[in-house]
Amino acid sequence: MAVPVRLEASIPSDVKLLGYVCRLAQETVRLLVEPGRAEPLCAQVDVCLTEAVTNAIQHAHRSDASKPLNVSIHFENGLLTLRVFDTGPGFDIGSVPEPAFDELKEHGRGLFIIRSSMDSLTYLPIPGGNVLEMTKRL
Amino acid sequence: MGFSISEQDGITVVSVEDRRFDAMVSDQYKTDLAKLIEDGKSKLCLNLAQVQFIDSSGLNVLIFCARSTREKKGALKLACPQPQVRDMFEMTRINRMIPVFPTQEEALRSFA
Repeated sequence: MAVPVRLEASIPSDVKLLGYVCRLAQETVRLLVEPGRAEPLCAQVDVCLTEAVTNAIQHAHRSDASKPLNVSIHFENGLLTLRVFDTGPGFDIGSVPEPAFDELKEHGRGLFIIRSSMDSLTYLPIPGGNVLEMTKRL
Repeated sequence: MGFSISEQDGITVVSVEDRRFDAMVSDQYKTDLAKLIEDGKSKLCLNLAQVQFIDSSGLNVLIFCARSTREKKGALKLACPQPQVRDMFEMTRINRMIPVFPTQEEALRSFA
């Protein structure tokens, strides 16, 4: 698709809205790629956006539904860019270790799933908060 | 939604009925499954045939159940994972720590 796609969504910080945001991203992918390639890409985008939005809601916003969570979905020149904005204190994404694969420990797999599925992942401070950005070439 | 529970030869079969096993349902699942294990149901077979999607929140519940059942001298076996769920098991290598079976029958037989 030659024309860039730019979608912005603002939702309450409530995990009940996870499915809504992820459906939006999946429908965008279906619009952009040929049917034979769409479903595996949809699955990857779905799980990565779910992880990012869940992190922002539960960790950055402490599940405070009064805090708006902003998500953007951009596609231009073959590159899909997903951004999740939060107003939390932030953290150093480089200091998050890989999960302990041989231990039955909860937590620590969300960022690993994103890193394994997308082409790039950054989490940077911006005025008033932070932005987690993920890209994937479609 | 949630899950349905049945018993077969001393093994508790929990069939998850939600299509998405994510943060929207994981806290409630963890609470309910913890109670089940605490009540002595430590040989658990989780049938995932209806689950089309799992994220790290759902995986955390499985890890919690595996650890809790082992502490009670039981075990957790996973059955019927669908493609996205199987992919997540392989990506996060959970299938190396929790036995996964293509069918419920095979999962139940493995308790023998």
